Amino acid sequence: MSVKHTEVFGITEDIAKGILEAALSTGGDFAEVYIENSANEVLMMRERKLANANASKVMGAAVRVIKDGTEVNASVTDFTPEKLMATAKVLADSFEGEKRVDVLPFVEKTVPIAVDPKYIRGEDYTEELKLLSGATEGAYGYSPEIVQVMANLTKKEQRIFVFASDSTWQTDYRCNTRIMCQAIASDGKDMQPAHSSFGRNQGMEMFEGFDPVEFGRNAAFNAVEMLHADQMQGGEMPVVIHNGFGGVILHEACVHGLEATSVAKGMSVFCGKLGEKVASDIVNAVDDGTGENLWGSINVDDEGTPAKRNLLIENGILKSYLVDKRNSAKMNHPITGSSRRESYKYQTTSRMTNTYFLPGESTFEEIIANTKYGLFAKEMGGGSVNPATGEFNFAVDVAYMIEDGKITKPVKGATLVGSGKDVLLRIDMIGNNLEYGYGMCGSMSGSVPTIVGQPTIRVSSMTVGGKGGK
Amino acid sequence: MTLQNVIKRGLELGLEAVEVYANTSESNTIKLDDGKLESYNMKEIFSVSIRGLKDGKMAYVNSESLDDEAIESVLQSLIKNVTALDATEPEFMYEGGSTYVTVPEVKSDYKEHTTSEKIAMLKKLESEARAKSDKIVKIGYCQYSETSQKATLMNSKGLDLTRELSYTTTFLGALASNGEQTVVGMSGDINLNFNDIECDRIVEESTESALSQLGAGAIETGKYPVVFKRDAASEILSAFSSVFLGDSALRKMTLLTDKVGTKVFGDNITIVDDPFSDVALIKYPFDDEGVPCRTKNVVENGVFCGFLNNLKTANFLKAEPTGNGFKAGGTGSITSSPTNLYLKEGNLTKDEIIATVENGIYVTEVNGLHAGLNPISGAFNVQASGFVIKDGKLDRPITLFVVSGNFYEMMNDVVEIGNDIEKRFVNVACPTIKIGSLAISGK
Repeated sequence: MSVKHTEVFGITEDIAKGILEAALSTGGDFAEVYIENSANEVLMMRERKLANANASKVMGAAVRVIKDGTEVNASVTDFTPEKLMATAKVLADSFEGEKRVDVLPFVEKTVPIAVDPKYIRGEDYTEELKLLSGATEGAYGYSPEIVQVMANLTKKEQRIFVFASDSTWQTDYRCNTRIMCQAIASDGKDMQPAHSSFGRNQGMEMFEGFDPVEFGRNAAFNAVEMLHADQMQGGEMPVVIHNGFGGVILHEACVHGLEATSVAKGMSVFCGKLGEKVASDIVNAVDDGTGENLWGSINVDDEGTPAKRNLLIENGILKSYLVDKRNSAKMNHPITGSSRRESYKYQTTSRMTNTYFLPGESTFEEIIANTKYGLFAKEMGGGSVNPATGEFNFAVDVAYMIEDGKITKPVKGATLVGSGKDVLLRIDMIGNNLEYGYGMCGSMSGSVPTIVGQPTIRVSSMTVGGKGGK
Repeated sequence: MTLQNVIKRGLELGLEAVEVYANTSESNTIKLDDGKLESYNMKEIFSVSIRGLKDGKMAYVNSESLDDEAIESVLQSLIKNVTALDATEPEFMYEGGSTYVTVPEVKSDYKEHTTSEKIAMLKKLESEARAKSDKIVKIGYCQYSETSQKATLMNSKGLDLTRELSYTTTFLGALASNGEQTVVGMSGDINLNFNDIECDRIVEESTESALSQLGAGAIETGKYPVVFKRDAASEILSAFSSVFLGDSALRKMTLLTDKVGTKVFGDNITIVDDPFSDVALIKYPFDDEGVPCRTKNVVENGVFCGFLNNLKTANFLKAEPTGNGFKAGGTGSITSSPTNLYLKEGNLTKDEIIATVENGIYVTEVNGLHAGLNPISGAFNVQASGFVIKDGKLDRPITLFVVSGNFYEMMNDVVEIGNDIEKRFVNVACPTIKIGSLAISGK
């Protein structure tokens, strides 16, 4: 950021210092104020008509004080200097004691720009409607079995300002823009949905070169393919997980268990495993918030720390957790620039940004040809994990069987379950075809945009759920 | 700006009707970790959702401030959006003057208790849970929240309603370990008065659930009779409750379209939507459109009685509004939603149902319903844990298996229904149920 900000949202350095001093007056070790002014927009086209056009503004502040590891936080919609001062005093009153630390002079860091949204909206919705219509027509045009198409475009424009007693004084500007298309196929008896999704932390300029018709068609193809597929017959087998959103396996099976929210409390199967082997030797994984305008990228996190590229796993060895300011002291671990919150209504904490396996050496064709029998999970759905036990699940939206080294019939209704500490050790092939998928990750600090990504990988054995039959 | 002035300004800008839905909420959450106060979080949130009608079209905006500049800005967006919309199904705004059923207050006394009392209660939960067994190695989640909300619904057609509620939630998660395996047992209570929080039950349930799962192994893939614990059954019914919504019919996202009046489930299935239910935590005199709520069967002895409607979907489906127009999360568009929806109880206790199973599965927990369950086709494939049932008794614990089936088929194969609906349930509840046969994938 080349421009230095002396006053943001009506807060000058003097006002800020006064609020933080009040917050620390009873012996707090750290105090922080986060202010947000966001605008959300959702346009939804259903059956070729613009059926919803909603807008919302989210404005408020979160003030917190940490003393000896205990955090008191207040989220308030009113963020006038008077209200912030009153809130700081209420928070300070929850502790007893004398002032222990001073508020350090504010320093606004110069941060390399990762995210730079330029063109958010025009006078009317001409460009947005063109995209939504394109996706809709692409889906309907694919097959007469497509009975319903919904396409939506969402924008979340977020201006944040964070200042803290440790000299932090940062702003960030983000615009998470995403297009989604859901197509439903029906043969008169059964119904099958499928969807496409593409998002970036960027303005409308992200759609340059984007083909909405192909995007809608892809959703329709998957819906029709799965409508006529047999039900997956469950059991244990090798699973090839395709590139892109397949990276949800890394996200669920491992990296939720690397977040300080779980690790600092001793609630993760990856506790105490730094420097130890947690995955097979060919596995390398990163969480990288710095990718240019990527969906999960940020310039600074919600504590004002510049985003970083964090190497999580190197040749199968665990190298780093994801850690915020508060847990850094507790865990004696560097801050990773990935403390995030959906809005001021949530307490900020360690989260993922763009998380993916690094490419390996196999080609996609080699991976399939080397698999005698198994499941090819082409498009993954969502999933969840319990970090304390490491047990995870995720749905496979589009899948095929692999027989004698060839992709054969489509199957639907497959679900993968397993344990995080086993599955990474069973990855025996990694492709050279890294792709990204676009998700919203819901956790303690709300829902945040994250990229899940990977090249095609093979897991030697997994439990695959499915009811079998036609 | 006052809410009346927001409406006035909306009309000045050319809207035919304007409605505001203002929500003030306060909440406090206390979390403990290892006997120590981990965090205390306070929230004071205000939001106002404004919707405007023009040419039969409705657009929605939301603001968290009532100051003139913020309101003018969202009203301008509203005008832009309502103009941009295509005419789809006609939209309506409800007029005032209806008579509403008087319901008991949902009011907690939490403000009469000090923060120290609440922290002491959590500390007691934690220490009692740890004392249950030396295999309880940690209390991972120990949390108390108190919430109060006030909503005001007002429109240019004369509607002027308010609704207030306050309650507490308490939650405990115990970790048990045998050195090789760690499992988590959870329990909680949503309650009104602070002294009524069922601490003993929370401790007992969370520790028992963790300890009994220790040593859980795999189960052979196959078809088994399955008994769903009421919590798991409630989650599944809740995830599929969208098939009964008028909004799903409008969006072609339910297989029940054209099935009103026909038999869709087994004879023993009656599903009720009861805004005034004695066992539910919250009672609803009116929905978020101001329409009076009423009790109705959604399914009666297997026959589908009709969709849960808001004003728009009722008109679209040529049916009566049912008082089921709600805003998800208090912001955004009105959709349809159940009030208190439940599967009508049978006669047997949980243990009596388990006793009917010779060789089957008792599912205590299901996970990943947001992904492994497809409300449009009815298919579900969800991660589960529970127990093997042998000769009518719980045998060994099992985990990491997948239960697969189809909601419509399953509701035609419910062979036993329990008498144990959860007290003070929120939104959707189901007693223990036994399914004749479901596919289980394991080793």
